[in-house]
Amino acid sequence: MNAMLTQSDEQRMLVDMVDGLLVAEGHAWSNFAEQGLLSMPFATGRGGLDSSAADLSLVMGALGRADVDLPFLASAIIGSRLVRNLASPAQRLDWAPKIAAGTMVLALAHAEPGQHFDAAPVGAIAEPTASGFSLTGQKTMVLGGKHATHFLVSAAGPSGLKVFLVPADAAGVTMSPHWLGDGAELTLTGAELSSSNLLDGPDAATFLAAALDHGLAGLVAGAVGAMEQLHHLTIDYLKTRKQFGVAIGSFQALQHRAVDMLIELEQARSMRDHATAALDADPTIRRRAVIAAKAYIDGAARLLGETAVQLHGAIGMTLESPAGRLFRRLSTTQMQLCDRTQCLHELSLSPASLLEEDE
Amino acid sequence: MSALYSTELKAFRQELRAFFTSQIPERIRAKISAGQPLARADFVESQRILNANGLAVPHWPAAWGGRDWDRVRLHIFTEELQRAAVPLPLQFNCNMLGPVLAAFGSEEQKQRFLPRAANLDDWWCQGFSEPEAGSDLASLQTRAVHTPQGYRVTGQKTWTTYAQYADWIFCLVRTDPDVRKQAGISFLLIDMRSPGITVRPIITVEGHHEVNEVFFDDVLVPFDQRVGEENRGWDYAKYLLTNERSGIARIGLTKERAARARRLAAATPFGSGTLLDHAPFHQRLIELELDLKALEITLVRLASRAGGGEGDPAASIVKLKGSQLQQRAAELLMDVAGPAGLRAMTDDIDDDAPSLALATYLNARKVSIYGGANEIQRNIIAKQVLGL
Repeated sequence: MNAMLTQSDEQRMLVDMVDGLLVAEGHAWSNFAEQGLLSMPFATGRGGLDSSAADLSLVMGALGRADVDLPFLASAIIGSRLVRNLASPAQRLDWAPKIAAGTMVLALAHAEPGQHFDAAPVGAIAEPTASGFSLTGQKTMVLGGKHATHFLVSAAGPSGLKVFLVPADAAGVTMSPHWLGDGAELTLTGAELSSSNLLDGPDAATFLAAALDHGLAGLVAGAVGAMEQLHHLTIDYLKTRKQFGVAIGSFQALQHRAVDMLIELEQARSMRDHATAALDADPTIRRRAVIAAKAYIDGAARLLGETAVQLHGAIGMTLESPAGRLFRRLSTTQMQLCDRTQCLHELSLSPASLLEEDE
Repeated sequence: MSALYSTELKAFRQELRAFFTSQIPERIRAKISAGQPLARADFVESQRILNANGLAVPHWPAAWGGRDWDRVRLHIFTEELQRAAVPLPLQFNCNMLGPVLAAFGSEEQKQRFLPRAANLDDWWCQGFSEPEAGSDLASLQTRAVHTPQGYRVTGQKTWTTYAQYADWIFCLVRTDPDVRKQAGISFLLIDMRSPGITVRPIITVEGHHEVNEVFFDDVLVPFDQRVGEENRGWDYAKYLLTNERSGIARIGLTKERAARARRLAAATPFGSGTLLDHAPFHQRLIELELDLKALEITLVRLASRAGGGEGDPAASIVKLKGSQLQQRAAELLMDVAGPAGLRAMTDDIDDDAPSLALATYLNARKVSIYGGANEIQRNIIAKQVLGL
């Protein structure tokens, strides 16, 4: 039996701890760092916990349920993974403690305008200078860009596609935050970097693809957490809100819609587990699993979000309502990393059915 | 690497697949693939092969032929039966009556009926629904009154699947009309050859004869053919209905239909390419596959949880979604066939006969109605899971 289908005692303790940190006094990000959560993806021999994809998925679920805006996905999952895979030992020694302490916050800047998530970027260019590189290019959909102290920027250099660590406050770096979500657009106009900012590990494209897939699985886990909370809030509302002298949850028309939400939630949990469990598989299976999960979860998020607002009535439209805020969060998630249209398109490029893979 | 099943479970699946595709006659499986009605003899032949190899009733108690498989193995077993287009062991015998008898029947009843049910020596049908008792099953009116010789049963059952083939019928009857409706029902086993029983065929929209009306006119039923206690029949029926619901998801069948839709669409010219190249069609197919993928994992997840007993709401969740997906797969197959689906049905076995796609579509509307209509399943989930 697959490990995703059952939770260990340690995993239950992890969830309890994260839930606790998210409602505790103080700044949640610092609390995460103090508890070692920001070193989860690093190898054990290097001060990390070498956490499994399943454990990271559980943290993302907790963040989604709490509707907290922390750059855990962008920095601790996607960013740390690239550092682990592409940075030199000296760079890791320098950066990993800062990432674990929460003082260095990463965001991957990879996609470029007009690509619709699907192509490797070739637009951004790293030109050699006397002391390092000069970066020029336009990056879009930078997840976690609002919070980042440093961007991991992909660009074409003299020896092919590489990733560069770019301080957010460097000259020639302009970050424009998105209206919704924690993403940003990034413009690089001759940003000067020292050669020690180049992550020179081989196969950058391969590791970028892997990092994005881990990011998608994390995004999906966070969305499922948000859906769980939204469903919970909606059921609670149906039991407490009275109209015509009775709880509105006594009306069959509303009960049936709440049940349809539950079924989509169960299905979404299944696809989250499918994606998480496939993260260690070969890249083709991994990719198909995460885009299948994202396509599914985006549809489920739409149904749950829209139904929750409808069942709440006007209060669900407001920012003072937790349900309204979760609806907005879920609507934002749908547009991040790879939207449903693009995921379905990518799935359609293969003539094979999704259904054969597990047998 | 697989996300869902261990290497051991994959081997288990392959072993079953090899058995089903090599040991169950192609002639029978081809009819299933084509959506053609089976003859009684086809069901019997297939089930006896399964039973001889311990594969007819693996979910029964070990003493009666069960295999002690966990629910995930049982799911794989059922799915592989459906993928290989093997007729499922007769659901009335194996999933409905058998477990009820094993749990609530007398030792004498178990000895008398269980081995014969497993081997399809007796064909059972289900006498639950009545013209005035559909979703509100407990309001059934067929009466059983005491006489010195046994019960005398008078009334009418309907939607009785394969009553035309049946040797026996298990029936819910009213034994006490003066109490709360659920408290006056008993569970009787009735020989279909009893004097006073009449069967009238009902032809459903696709033109097949699956269901019937069954009339009882003063039919004598010995007391030793009552299961469990008198007036406790509703409890046994609820137990049975949970098992029935779990069986309706038919994920394997829907997978087989989705695979067929993909295969046929890739071979169907459309515009300048094939129907599979047509983005709107391809997207519907992928969306169905996504839903099916999720439902398979959901089923395994819910099966891995504790519970699964009487009234398990997981069965309602899986029935509800599973029936919807079965219907969507049937719609896709109908759309692949297109106008050619209107051509006359033939008796030839042709795996891809378009007209059978339309028949399958028409017939598939039943799955959201029987086994407790989907609206009833939503009521159950709302009450038992959501506490509304």
